[in-house]
Formats: sequence, C-alpha cells, structure tokens
Amino acid sequence: MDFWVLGQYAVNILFLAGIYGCVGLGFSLVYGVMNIINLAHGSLIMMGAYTTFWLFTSYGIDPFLSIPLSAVLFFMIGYFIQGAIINRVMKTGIFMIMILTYGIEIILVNLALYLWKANYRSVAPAYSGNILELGSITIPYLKLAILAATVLITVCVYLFINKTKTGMAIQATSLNRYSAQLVGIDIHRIYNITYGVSTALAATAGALIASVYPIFPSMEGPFLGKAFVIAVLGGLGNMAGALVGGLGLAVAETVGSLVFGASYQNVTAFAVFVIILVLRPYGLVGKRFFAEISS
Amino acid sequence: MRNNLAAVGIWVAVLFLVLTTLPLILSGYWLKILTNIIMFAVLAQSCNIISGYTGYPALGNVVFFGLGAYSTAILMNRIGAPFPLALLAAGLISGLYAAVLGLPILKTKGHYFVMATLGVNEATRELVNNLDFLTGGGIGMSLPIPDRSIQSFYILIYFTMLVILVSCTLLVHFVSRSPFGFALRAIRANEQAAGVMGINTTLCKTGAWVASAFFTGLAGGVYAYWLTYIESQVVFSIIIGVKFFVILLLGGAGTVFGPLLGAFMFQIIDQFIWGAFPEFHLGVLGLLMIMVVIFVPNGLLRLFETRIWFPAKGLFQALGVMGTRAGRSEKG
Amino acid sequence: MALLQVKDVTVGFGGVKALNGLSFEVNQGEIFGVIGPNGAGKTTLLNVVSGIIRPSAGEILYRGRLVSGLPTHTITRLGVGRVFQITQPFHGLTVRENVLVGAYFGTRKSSTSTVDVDAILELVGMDKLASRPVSELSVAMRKRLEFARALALRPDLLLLDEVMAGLAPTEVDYLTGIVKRINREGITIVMVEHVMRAVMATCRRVLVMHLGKHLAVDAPEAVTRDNRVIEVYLGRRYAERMAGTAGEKRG
Repeated sequence: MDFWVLGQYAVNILFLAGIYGCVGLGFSLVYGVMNIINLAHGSLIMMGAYTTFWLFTSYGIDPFLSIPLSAVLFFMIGYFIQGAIINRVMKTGIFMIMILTYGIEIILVNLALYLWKANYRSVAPAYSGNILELGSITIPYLKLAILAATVLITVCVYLFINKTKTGMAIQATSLNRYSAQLVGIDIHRIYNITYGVSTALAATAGALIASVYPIFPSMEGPFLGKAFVIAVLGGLGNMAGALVGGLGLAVAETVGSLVFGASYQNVTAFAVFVIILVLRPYGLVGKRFFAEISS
Repeated sequence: MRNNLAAVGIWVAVLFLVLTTLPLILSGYWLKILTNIIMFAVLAQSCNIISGYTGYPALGNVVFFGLGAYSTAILMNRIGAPFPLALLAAGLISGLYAAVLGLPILKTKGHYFVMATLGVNEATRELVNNLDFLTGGGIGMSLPIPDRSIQSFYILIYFTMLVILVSCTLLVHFVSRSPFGFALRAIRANEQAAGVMGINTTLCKTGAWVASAFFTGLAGGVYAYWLTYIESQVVFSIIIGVKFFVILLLGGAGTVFGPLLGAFMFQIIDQFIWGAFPEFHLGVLGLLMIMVVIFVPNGLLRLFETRIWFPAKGLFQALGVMGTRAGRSEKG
Repeated sequence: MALLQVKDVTVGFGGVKALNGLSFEVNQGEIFGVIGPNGAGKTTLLNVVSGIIRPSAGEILYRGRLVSGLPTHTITRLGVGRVFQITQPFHGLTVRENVLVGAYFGTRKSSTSTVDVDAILELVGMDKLASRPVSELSVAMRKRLEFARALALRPDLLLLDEVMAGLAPTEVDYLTGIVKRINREGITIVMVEHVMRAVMATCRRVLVMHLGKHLAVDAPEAVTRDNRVIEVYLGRRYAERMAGTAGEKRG
C-alpha cells in the first residue's frame, strides 16, 4: 500500500473519529456523572439531525450555523427530560433507568416517524461538492469543517467542565454525589444541566452527521450502538476517553472493513467492544482503580 | 400455609383448564394474541432466571431468541430436519452459546454486563447478516410451509409454546426452592460474600444463563416456524429484548408467576394501543414503559400484595378480632 | 507444621504495592493478630488468603497445600472462613437463611444435618432474630451475623477483618468471648484488628504490618513496646522521645 493510499485512509479515519468523538462525548458525560446508560442518546442524535434538516430545508440555515441554535434548544429539552422524568427514579436500580430511557427513545423515534416519515433525507449545502486535493488525497472541505467543529466543541466542553463553577460542581458530583451534597451542591440541578449538555452534544453530533450522511428515523439504533462502543473503548464515563474511543472505533471499523470486507465493519467493531468490556472494562486509557469492576 | 397451597393449586388448575380449552374455541385473531402472550411469558420467565433471581440484567437476552429462530430455520430449510428435532437443537445451540459466552461475560457486572449482552446481540446480528449462504443475509429466510390446515397448525404452535411455558415455569418454581436457587439469590444479594460462603459463583451464574438461553432459544424456534419467515432485523431487535424486560418488571422480577401476569397485562394493553393509536403505537408504548418504571417499580404482584392483599388480610384479621371480642363480651 | 504459610507474597495495584514480599506462618490452634496503621495492606492480605485477589508473586500454603490461585469457593470448602470488615449480608434473605447459605455450600460434605444452624445462632445470641430480614438488624447484630455465617462453614481457619471496629465496649467484650470460645473448640483464628483491647485480650502472637511489609511478629505486650512499631504508628519523633524518657527512667 503506497503512501497516498495510507494518507487517504488516515484522513478518512480522522474525520470519522471527529464525528464519533462527538457521538460518544455526551453519552460518556451522562454515565460519568449520573451512572446512567442513556438509551435515549441515539434518538437524541437522530432528532438533532432532523432539526438541522428542518432548519436547512425550511429556513435555508447552513448546517454548521444551525448547531448553536439546536444546541440551545436541545439543552432545554434535556434539562426538562432529566428534571421532569429521570430525577424521579434516580435512586432505583439500573434496570429501571434503562427501561425509562428506552421509553424516551421510542417516543422520539415515533415522533420522527410521524413528522418526517421513514424516508431517507439529506442536507446538501452548496459547497458539499468542493474538494481539497493534496497529491492524490482528496479531502472534501465539508469534512475539514466537521473536523474543525469537533475540535471547537471539544475545547468548549473542556473549558466548561474545567473552568466554570458549574463544571467543577459537575466533576464533584461525578466523583461522589453524597459528598457533593455536603458541600452545598444541588445535585438534582447538576443532573439536569449534565443531561442538558449531553443532549446538546447529541444534537451537535446529529447536525454533523446530517451534513454528510443521509438521515432516517431508525438511524438511532446504529448510533446508540456506536456510542456504546466509543464510551467503552475510552473507558465508561471518561470524557477524554470518549475522544480516544471515537478514534478507536474509527480505526476498528476501517481496519475491519479492509481485512474482512466492508460488510464486516460492524462485526469487528462489536467484537472489539465485547473483548474490551471483558478484558479492560476500564477502557483503553482508563485507570483500573476507578472502574466499576467489582460490586 | 396448607390453605395457601390449596388455593394456588386451584388457581393453577383453573388456569390450565382455561389455557387448554381456549384455543379450541377462539378465532384465529385471538388465538394469535394468546400465543403471543404465551411467547412473551416464556421470554420474560427465561429472563427471570438470570435477571430476576441472579440479578444480572441481561437486556441483550434477545440474542438467544434470534439464534433459536435462525437455528430452527437453517436446520429445517437447509438440512430438512423435522420441526421437533430442529427446535430442540435450537434450544441446545442457544444454551451452548450462553455457556461459551457466559464464562467471560458473566465476569462483568452491572452496566458493563448490560452493555456486553447488547454488544453480543449486535455482533451476532451483524454476523447473521453477513453469512448470506447460510442465513440469506439481509433478505431474511423462509421456513417450509407446514402441510396441514392453517387452524390446526396454529393450534399446534400454541400448544408447543404452552408446553415450553409450563416447563420453564416449573423449572423456575423448583429452582427457586432448591439449594441452587438459594445460591442464585445469594449471588444477587452479594456476589463476593457468596463466593466466600463456598458458592461456585461462576458455575451458578453460567448455569442460570444457560437455562435462560435454552428456553429463550426454544421460543425463538417456535416463533420462526409460526411466522414461516424471519429476518435478522426483527428476531434480534432490541425492542423485543426491552419488551420482555418491561414485562418482567411489570409482573415482578424474582417471582414465579410475575412474568406470566406481566405478559398477560402487557400484551393486552399493547393490543389495545395498536387498535386505538396505530400511528403512535411506539410512542404510547414508550409512555407505558416510563409509567411502569415510575408507578409500578416493584411489579404488579408485589403491588397487589402490599396495596390490596396485606390491607385486606389486615382488615379481615381486625374484623376477626372484633368478632371474637364481641363474642366474649356477649358471653361476659 | 504450620496451618497457614504465607511466603513472599506481593500484590500490586497499578504502581502501588499493597503487599510487598510478606511472609509469616500461623500455627494450628492459635489466635494470630494482624495489626498495622491504615494502608498497611491488612485487608488485602485477607483478600489474598481467601482467594478474592490473586497475588502477583509468592505463594500461600494451607495445610501444606498450595492455595493461591484457587477460586474463592474452593478455598472456602477447604476450611477457610472469612468475616468481612464491612458487613456483607445477603439482603432479601432472613437471618437464618443467611446462615443456611454457608451451611449449604461452604461445608465439605454439603449436608445441612452436620451443621446445627440454630446452635450457631444461639452461640452468637441471635436465636430470637432467626426469622427477621437482615435489613432490620443493627450494626452490632450484622457483625454477629457475619460471624454466624462464617461459623456455619465449619471452618478450621477463620479470617476476621476488623470485626470489632465501631462497636461499643460491651459488644467488643461479647465478641471477644465468642472468639475465645470457638478457638477453644479448635478453630484457628487470624484477626486483623485496630481495637487493641480485643487484640490484647485474645492474641498470643501479633504480626505488625507496615506498607505491605512484615515489621515484627511477637507477643502483643512486646509489640506495643517495640520502638519500630511505635514509630510507624505515632511517628519517629514521638518514638525517640519515648525511648529517651525510658532511658532517663532507667538511668
């Protein structure tokens, strides 16, 4: 395999990793802070994609410009979902919360089916055909923009978590929810904000996906599956790990389809997922001490 | 105690009588619904073994349903095996799959176990999609059409499903009172302490999962023969997996009759929703799930016990006490 | 021959070594104390002996048989019982059922007839609570239940992990009495303990651990006078001062 081909693969992997990182970020955040496997994450991504589609087709808003709009909207939706529904059952077991979030998932799928039908839709901004050529490597500008957007979002999330008071409170809550209460943190408000941020991140991921891939209501399933793999590869609940996980999944899919054929990329991804879960449940970069291995 | 046993006996006898005579008088439509109820009762009861009694939330248990369906289809379609043989083999294959997977996967716990089972389901489905020569890939697979009248075929399916349900429930009943069941409950309560108490936790957990997988696989096999056409998107769908979990929760996890009650209630409500809101069926189902979690978290069986049975018993006892007091005062 | 032999056992968590080449022997029939400041690796030691953690180096012999690496339940069935520091009852089961679990699975012949569950409950003074769910028990009663459950295993060696911690003095004396009594009946005991009142009253020999290492093995009275031990507990300066005052008195 010559240099240019490898280069092309590297570019594709990097672009995929960007989108996947964004998909995993919100999912991991919710798990890290609240210990919830949010089965609604896939449908929130899907709804984010449709929001972008709607803003684009109805008002001609560019998919990248729609991100701030839909992020704010979805933050509020997420805040409401957590505050009105999930907070009621935070103290029950993991069965309960998973069923609950799955209930939210299928309600949203139903909504999308009703509003947009089961057809494939796509967002095609005018510049989507423009390509940057580097030797024999071709890079659509759109993909470059997506990569840039991912970096920007990551920086924003990093600053929010590490430099703001709310972000610190979120970290404190994720380390120990009881002690957090003792130092005067209203953990329910923190939960609401966390779920809101996670939902906004899902919407952002949806917007990025909509700008390059066709969208349809049942896309939630595959993307929820990807969120699982990304989160586990990076270490469940580990935000920086989500980005590593995104890269890991992109590599696994690409290598899987190269070695076993394109139709095997998902098999490879899930096989890697299960193996990581069993052998390194704390993720590729996580530390053993802090994972929920025993108890 | 003896009174309780007799009451349970009578209830079981009545239930059995109703379940065996109903299919002979029901229309095709209602027979289909009843068969569906029994099937989901089997699925929930199998799930009960690993999740209700052992405390391992096997949300991805639907993988054995799909595996059973495909094993039956492949054995009948490609080899020409007769249905009973194919079905039994399907159950065994599912059980074997659980045994092989269980050793590594049952080492994970809680959320990690849930995700591992879901991952196994996804990986298996993708694999089935890719093995075109065996499974027909994305197109799906048909089974041989039975050479008997439709009505008698559906009755046959119904009774097969019923036999599976009865054997599964009997197994759960006897296991729940055996040392093995005791070990499972100890594992659910505290696995580390169970190990120190001399329980071979790996063996017990794997055994429970194998039993669970065996019956789930059987249900999948019957389902495949019943519909005579299967596709991977349906038989491996998470929504089936979540459905039988909701049923388990609705009825009461870790009880013998909870899954049966749950399946009955859930399917009836589901049927009603289909009729009333065809376009919002999924949405209303989702709403129902949320409501079950918020309002009936311990299952209907326990709700019945705490809200109706115990108060009623208390009332009777109170009345009884008053009665005897009244009697005494009369004498006095 | 010693009942339990721990030879050069090392356990590492990431970069930290919880046990670092630890060796000692426990003789048949004794009550063997293990003390040491927090983080010395005492609980890890019990976890290694009962098979919950595998040592990264070294070996453990029980009755001369290599047991390190065996699964927990096998070690239990060989006759090693364990009482946890943080009580770990089986919720959803009654007190009697909790003890029955040990009787069912832990004994070598796995027959209930040889283990008198009710006698054990009586021994720990819980016979009246037999049919209560464990969630209703107080902390002290939960500790006693842990004891009862371990006794139902009919162990030859019983590992006690800080069973006295957080108990009132009367309760400490009560449990101490039980420990002595079961020891007289032939059960060898290894007790990790912070409550010196209990250690002094029961142990003939005490192992002092520090940072995963063996610091001293001696009679409890001797150990409490050992300067190295005083140093790890109270700091070097205090030890020097103590040594100084002792010297002055002698002089």
